[in-house]
Amino acid sequence: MRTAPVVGIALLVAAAAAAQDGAVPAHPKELRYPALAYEPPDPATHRATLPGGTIPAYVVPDRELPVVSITAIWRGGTVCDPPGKKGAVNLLSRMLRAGGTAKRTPAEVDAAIERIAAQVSFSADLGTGRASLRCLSRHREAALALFVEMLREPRWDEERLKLEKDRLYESFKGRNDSTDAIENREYDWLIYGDHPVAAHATKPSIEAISREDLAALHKRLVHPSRMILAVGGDWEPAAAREELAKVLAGFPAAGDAPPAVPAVTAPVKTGLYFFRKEKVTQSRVSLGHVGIREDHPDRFAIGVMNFILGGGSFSSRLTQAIRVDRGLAYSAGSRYSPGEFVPGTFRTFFQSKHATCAEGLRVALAEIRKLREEGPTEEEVAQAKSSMIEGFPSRFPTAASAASALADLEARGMPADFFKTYRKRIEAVTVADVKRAAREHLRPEHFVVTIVGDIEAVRAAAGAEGFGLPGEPVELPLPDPFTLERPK
Amino acid sequence: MFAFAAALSSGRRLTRRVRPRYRAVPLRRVSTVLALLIAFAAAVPARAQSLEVSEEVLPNGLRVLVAERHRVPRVFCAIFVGTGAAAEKSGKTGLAHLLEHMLFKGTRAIGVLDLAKDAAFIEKADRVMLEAYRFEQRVRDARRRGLESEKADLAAIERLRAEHKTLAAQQKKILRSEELWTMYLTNGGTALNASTGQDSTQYFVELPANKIELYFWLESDRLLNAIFREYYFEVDVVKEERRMRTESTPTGMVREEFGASFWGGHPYHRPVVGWMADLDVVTRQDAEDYFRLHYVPENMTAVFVGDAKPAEVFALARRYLGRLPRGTRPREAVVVPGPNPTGEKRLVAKAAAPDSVEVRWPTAATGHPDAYALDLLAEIFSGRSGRMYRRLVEEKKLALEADGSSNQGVYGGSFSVTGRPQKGVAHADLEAALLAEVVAAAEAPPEASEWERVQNAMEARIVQGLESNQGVAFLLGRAAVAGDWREATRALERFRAVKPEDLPRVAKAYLTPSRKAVLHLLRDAAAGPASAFAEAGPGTPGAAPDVAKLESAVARLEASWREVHPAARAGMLERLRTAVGRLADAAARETLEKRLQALEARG
Repeated sequence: MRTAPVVGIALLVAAAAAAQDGAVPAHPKELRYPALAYEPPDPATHRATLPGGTIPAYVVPDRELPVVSITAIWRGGTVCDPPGKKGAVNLLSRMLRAGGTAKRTPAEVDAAIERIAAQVSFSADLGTGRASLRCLSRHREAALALFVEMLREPRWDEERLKLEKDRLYESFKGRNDSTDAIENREYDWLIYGDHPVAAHATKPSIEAISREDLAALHKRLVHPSRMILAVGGDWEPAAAREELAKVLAGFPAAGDAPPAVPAVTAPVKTGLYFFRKEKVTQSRVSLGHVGIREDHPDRFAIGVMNFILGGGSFSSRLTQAIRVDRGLAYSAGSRYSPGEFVPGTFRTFFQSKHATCAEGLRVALAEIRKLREEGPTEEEVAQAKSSMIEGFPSRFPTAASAASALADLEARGMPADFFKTYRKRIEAVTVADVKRAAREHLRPEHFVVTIVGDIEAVRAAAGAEGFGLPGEPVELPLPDPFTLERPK
Repeated sequence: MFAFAAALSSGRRLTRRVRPRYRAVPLRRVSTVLALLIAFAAAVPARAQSLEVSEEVLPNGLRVLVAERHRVPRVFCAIFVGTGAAAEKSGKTGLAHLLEHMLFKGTRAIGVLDLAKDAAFIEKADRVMLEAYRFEQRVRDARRRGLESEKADLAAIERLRAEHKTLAAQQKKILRSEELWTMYLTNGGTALNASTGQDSTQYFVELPANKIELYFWLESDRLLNAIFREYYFEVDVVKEERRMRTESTPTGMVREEFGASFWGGHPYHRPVVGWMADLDVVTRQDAEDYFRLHYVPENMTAVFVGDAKPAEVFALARRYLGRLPRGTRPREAVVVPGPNPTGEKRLVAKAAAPDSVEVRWPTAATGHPDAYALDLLAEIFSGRSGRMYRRLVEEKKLALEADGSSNQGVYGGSFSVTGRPQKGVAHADLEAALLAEVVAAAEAPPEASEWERVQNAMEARIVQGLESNQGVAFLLGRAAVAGDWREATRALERFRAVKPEDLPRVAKAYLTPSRKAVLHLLRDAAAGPASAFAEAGPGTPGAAPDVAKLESAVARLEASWREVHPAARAGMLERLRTAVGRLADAAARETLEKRLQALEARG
């Protein structure tokens, strides 16, 4: 504790500062700021393989708090679901947490984890799987042993498997409960078709998954030789690597390498689609098309362009036009998220009372067309770049977040200098680049538009001006929540 | 589960009369430093792991807190105003939150090109819209009495609203909309936002460490010189927010209704976003009045967490925030009614959402010594090795999920037990099982292993809450508006001071039958499309009673009669009786009725 001396210093400096309580400038333009140096976490500093092996571990120490986070990331996510068994990789994640180990029943595992207040979680996205442990540093040894036991020798307890399946069925039941769940699912389905990135488990696909399926997936995916480790917090790097090497030794041999993620080949389903939902006072509108992968050369220009269009919240055109100038929505904007492994989506979105959805849509379309045709202003580009560059250090708030950001880069096959060069690459984006990005990467002729809510009310209010798009709107029925089959 | 203040934020100073404006205030520049995590001295003997907090109270009463931490050259900056929705008046709900929105609309210097013209536009917009509001009131009055609206009234509303739109379009030419927001973003601001709770309203942004003076400039400017322009569009935005968060989510309206009924005459019964009918009538002047009354320096705490030097922050705070004048009018105390002992409340509602049961009791406010015991009790119930999961999910197979939660606000707290029934389990049975655990907890202190688990859970939660700068800022800010920011540094010792036998004591004191409110949420089968796999759930309306199901329900009740909370028994008997009475099979009906009578006789 350094309490007393700090009090003294604070008082002393406070007295000194009192003398120079200066005037307040008339406008913040007159403020001058001292220079600020910042370098993002450097893979070269934090990466090393575990002793005697090839497993890379990024370790970023921070001794301020007695807490440590450990994450293991591996290639092979939901893309590894066997045919007809959609949801298997996610069920694997659930069962790694809930299903017990060879040595302990599920209840014993739960009790052991919670006795020391450790947090253990397993998850998967399209291309990667991950396991995370967070605990107080004084419980680290016990927590880590348990964590590795769960990863190495899961039990696949029958009763827990049934409970986890029942929970999934219960959650399927609610698939058409909320307009935002419907919107997210249906928008992605229209963009990606049946590609695994937008595919969902169904009751039949979950019923088809056996303990043996989970064991086979586990053998194939969860193996130290496929892992990239990230450690952040109260643990010295050398000691961390040594102990991790020790506890991760002795896994049984791994299965075949996981498959690559297939390309997106879904045909473009341009058009305006309605999905009916009753008892809501607001409908949700989304529009856009398939986007880019994170390794696309235009990602920085697109990033700046989307900030101006709808990514910069109140400083963006869509929020201004739909929310600020017209009061049509609480949330309005756009995302142009670069995808991992497959292209992401471009999506403009807002929610409005039924009577003003068509008006909002016309405004959004006009803003998109205007940016394509006229490009951005110098000031907009400067502001967007400045925001992205100056705000960049916020991506690495803690040691744990820095370590896992670096490990993630490697897991996704991104260049190691991505963070190091990020600000320079944003800085290099010109007004002409943004204009070109808008023209090439905003494609109104490919737009998929979804409106979820009270279709009749939305339609009635569209009036003579309509929705600002060619073609007739089509109503699509909601799929069966359990099977996701769509009525003809 | 334990939450520092999820739905309920904080704010004590309303209960205190403020000093008259011109009273001479001695110049105080007292700085105090306290370490968060002080109690870790024992846990971590080798190293002092702590985060130090420095305090200075400005002469105008504004409190400044700085927690220094240099991992990234950024500072999370926040101002907590110790007033939220709880201070609103009937008919003006939503004002605290609407005001939060208005403080982003600019000032005399920010967001505007021609101040004189702007003022004229605002005045005209008020005139036109208040006239429109007057006609809208006539339309509502007619509707209430079942009359047709006067055509002239509707025409007037249309004309006035169109006129307002035209005015707004003209005004737009002399505005720089969202300039405050853009300045923050352009200068690297992240996590930029504000939020309103029942007890407090907070404005926050994380900035690069070298831009902290910009923060002081912009925040002191908006507190001194705010102009509420584009007010009527912002009212529309807030209505859309209400539609989005409350009206168009599956459980939004039910949660609002249950909260209103649970809190009864307590100010927390009002939704923070406001009732839609109130949003129709609150005016710009209402927002101004609320602002002038509550946004006074003695009701504010500024918190800085990150790469900042306390002395420099204090000097800037004096220069910029020291300019705010103290309030001139007394702020009325928030009136909190006592506990309502008239009996339990019950809401049975349908929604497009999973079946669930919640039982909720009013408890202790922030700062009350029992709050810590209640939090520990909630933790005893929660988690996969918590009692609710072990007993209700695993052993009795009644629930898919079940846990407890404890919440505190400045003016009151609540405690809930919640569960989602497994397929075929009636809500009443799950309710009885939840209550049986509450009764058991009131009878005996937790076991040693449970005690170790919940104490460790609290410690981990406290430490993890300090990981992000924002987390630390909110911890300090909320504790400050609740009365004493130092309380945030004492959380661990407070939990350690609770004795196992305090848990049955608080369970008995607070979780009583007559004070509880019960929510049965039934999945609304009509709200979703039919499914090949859909089965009739326990709450399916009109489903014929099933002899086997009823028999097993009666058997369960017989087996757990002593465990069932006495207050729940009568209700359960009655519901079973109703169901049994509808049985077509006379013999089965008679047998079951006799068993229910026997149960009743057991008392």
